[in-house]
This record gives sequence, C-alpha cells and structure tokens, in this order.
Amino acid sequence: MQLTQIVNGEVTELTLCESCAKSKGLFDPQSLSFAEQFFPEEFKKKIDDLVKELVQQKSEEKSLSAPTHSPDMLTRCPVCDFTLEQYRKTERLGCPDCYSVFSAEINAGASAQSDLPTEEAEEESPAIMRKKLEQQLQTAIEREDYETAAKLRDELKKMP
Amino acid sequence: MMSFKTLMKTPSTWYAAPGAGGDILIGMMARAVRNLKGHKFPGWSTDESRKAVADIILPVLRSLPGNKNGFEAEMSELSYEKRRILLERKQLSHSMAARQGGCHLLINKKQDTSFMVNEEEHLAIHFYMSEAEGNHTEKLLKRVHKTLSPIEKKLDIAYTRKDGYQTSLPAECGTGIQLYAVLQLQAMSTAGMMSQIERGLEKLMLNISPFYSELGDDAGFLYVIYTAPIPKDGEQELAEHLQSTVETLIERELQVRLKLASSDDGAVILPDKVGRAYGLLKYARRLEYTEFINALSMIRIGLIGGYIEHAYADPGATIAQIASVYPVAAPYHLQHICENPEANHAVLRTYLIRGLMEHLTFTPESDTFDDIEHE
Repeated sequence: MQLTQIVNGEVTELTLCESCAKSKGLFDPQSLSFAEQFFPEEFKKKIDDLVKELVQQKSEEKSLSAPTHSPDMLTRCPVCDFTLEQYRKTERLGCPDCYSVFSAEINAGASAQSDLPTEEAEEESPAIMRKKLEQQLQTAIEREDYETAAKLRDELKKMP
Repeated sequence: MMSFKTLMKTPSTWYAAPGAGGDILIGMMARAVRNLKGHKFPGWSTDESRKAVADIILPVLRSLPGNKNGFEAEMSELSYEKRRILLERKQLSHSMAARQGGCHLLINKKQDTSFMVNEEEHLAIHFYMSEAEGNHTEKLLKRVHKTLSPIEKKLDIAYTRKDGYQTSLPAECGTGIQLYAVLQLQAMSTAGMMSQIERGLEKLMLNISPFYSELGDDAGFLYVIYTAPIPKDGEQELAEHLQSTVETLIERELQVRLKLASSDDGAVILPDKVGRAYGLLKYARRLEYTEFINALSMIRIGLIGGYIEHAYADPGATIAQIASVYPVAAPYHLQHICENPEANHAVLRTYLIRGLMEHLTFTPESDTFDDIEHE
C-alpha cells in the first residue's frame, strides 16, 4: 500500500506491506477514501499520527545505520586539514594522505556500495511472482474486490 | 613553443581528421589522471600549493619528446574566447576551462594529447585518437601507458597496492583511466532510439552523453560512450567491453539506416532527411551552429548511402572535407578568424560550405542501401 501526504508542499511517501498496513488499521483502500470523505478531521489526525510514527521510526533506523567514528579515529587530516565532515558532504578528499586518515570511513562507504542489492538480485523468479499473484488474488476474492481479482487473474494467465 | 595562432592553423582537430572510410565511429579518447604524494588536491588547494605542484610536474612534461614544440599556457593567460575555442576543439576539459593561476595546459605538437596540470587532479591527460586509427582500445591504452611510464618514473605518484592510483574522489581510484568513443548515430537518433540505448548501456556499466553537451542532446547526432573510471585490475576487460559495445552499436546503426532508407512503407525517412539537409545547406543564408552540424551529419550519411554525389571527388574525400568544417564553423572559432567583429556568424557559416555544395547533387532515387541489403 502506498500512502502520500502533502503538507505545505512537503511530500511524505510511505510504502507499507499488507501486514504492516493492517497492523496500523489501514486494511482497505476503499474504506480509507470513505473515511477521508466523511470523517475528514479524524482521518487527517489518524494519518498524521501514522506518518509521524513511521517517519520517526525511519530516522531512528537511519541514525543507527549512519557511519560513526571511533573516538581514536582522526577527524582532520594532519597534512591538508581536510575534515571528515567535509568528506561526508562532498565525497571528495583533500590530499592522498586523507586515504589513510579516513580509511575506516572510506571503506565503510565502499562496502555499503558493494552491499547494495543488484538489479538481478531484486528481480524475482516467475515462480515467486506467480505465488505472490495467487496470494493477492485470494485476498482480493476474500475482500470481494472482484475488479482487482479479475486483473490479477488476467496477469496470472499471461505468465509463462 | 607553439603559439595559439599556430595551434589554430592546424587544419583540423582530432575529431575532424580525415577518416579511414568509417562514418559512424568519429574518434576515441582516453583520460588518465595522476596525483602527487603529500600535496593537496587542486580543488582544495591554494594558489601557492598549486604553483608548487606545477613546478614539480611541468619540467617532466616539458621533457617528453612530443611536447618540445607543443603549445603551453597558464590558464590565467588564456582569455575567455581562447578557452571557448579550445573547448570547441575538444582539447580542454570543462573543469580545466574554469581554472586560473597555477593551472597549466600543454598540448603536444601532434595535437593528439592534452596535459592539464591542476585540473580536478594534479595531472589529467587526454589522449585523442581519430577515426582513421579505428576502434582499437588496445592501441589507445598502449599510447596511454607509453606516455605515463616516463612521467611515473620521474614523479612521486600517490599509489597504493590497495587503492591503485589515488584520486580526489575515492570512488574513482584504481587505474585512473577512463575510455571514451565518439559515435555519430544519425539513424538511431532519428528513429528515437537513444533513450533505449542509454538504458541498455547502463546495464552494461557504460554511459552515454551528447558530444556537444552545451548545444543539446542530439546536436550533430554525435554521442560519447564511455566507461566509468576503470578499477584496479579491470583495464583489459573494460577496454574489450567498450570496443565490442562500439562494434555492436555500429552494426545496429547500419541496420537502422537500412530500415529508414527502405521505401516499402512509403516512409523514405532517410532520403527525406538527407534532402532537407541538402536544401538547407545549399540555399539557406543564415544557419545557427546546431542546425548547421545537424545538416552536415545528414550530408555525410547521404554520401555514404549514395543519395548525394560529388561531381569530381569520391565520397570519402568529401566526408573528410565536411568533417574539417565542424570545428571551424563553431561560434568562437568563427569569431576568432573573422576580421570584422560586426560580421554575422550565422551568415558567415553558410559560406564555409557553399563552395562544396556547388559540386554536390542530390540523387534521391539511389538504391545504394538496397544494394547493401541484398549483398
């Protein structure tokens, strides 16, 4: 489920899996739009709270994964005076000696890069895709959302 | 030492040199960067530290055999117009064009290598190879290493076994070398296939950008395909990869030319484009640079496809003549060679080609492409 909130021109987008959406009480897109139409105040408050909660959760995760430096790690290159902060901002170094001074930071960045999932890895096999579509179809039928169910059925037919 | 005037007298710069018959590959280029140990990178250094770096590097560069009678200037000595001309000739990088004191440019006598001191790195060298030398990344790399070898022997270069050659951007360290190929893809561009090609190249870890980035996405239908900075130990593999990709693109371009030349569906797209370009260059009295080079590109393809014929010369010689006009017709070149500062460049540009156009005939009924297809 995708949720987009625009407040004073600032766009916040959230993508929730089905179980997370359900746990937050967002289980039916149609009922959401119904609530927005008929209970605008309550709806806005609920979404605001949810966005705040999730954004906070995200920033906490981010700060936990942000590279930190050990107390004995130099934050300024003794040769050129370039700082760790400058490297973080520009991704550039001040001189060749910065390579050894900020090696921990540079290596952390390089390994984070190499840990990024490749496009191939993200691509799902047809079998997994089929399984997912079948599950979605089942859910749609249970919700009596026959329009979505028909689309999913057609997609399944097209699959190899 | 070569003066700027002499540099300008050289009839054609690398990408406009007479070719060996091929019309799609225009030229190849390599960029190699090296830094000195214990000195601040240029982007972060003061005038004094840049001068100190230049004092170390310049004597080494001057001692190279090909540089003895080459061109040399400190960037602060070059006027804005001269820098623009060097950019039009593709003998200077954009970041170097913005540099001032302590930054030096050297161009060898043959004008196929530019040495830039204190560009983004302490030393950046651009090697140019015209289309006459073909699609040979190996040949280009040999030249790169032949030039770098004496430089590395004389300078204390920042290199570690772990990082390779260290650069101001850690993500770019490794061999410090990048390879480029300049291609003219009129048919694929006309067929609107460039974004598809861009996506395909991305998957092959290659990039594409317009050759004349300042003029727009498809100016002159010229594109640069290039590798990322080559990582340590990846040189041979990436060079072969670029070369085979260029071969594939050339093959595809030829296929699309055949398709666009076909009159089966009555579209005759290519003869139409060539005819329009012919009319424009023959009869227009004012031409902006982009429309001028776009039309020239279509005349080139017209000569190859047999839609245009020269009364006396063969297509290869005519294409070479056309290629040499590209840099000369560029805005700052025209401004430089024109004695009258009030002269209208758009008008002047049309005179550069009018003499040649008198000898060219548009022959739209040609079936040369069909012949190629049947062969």
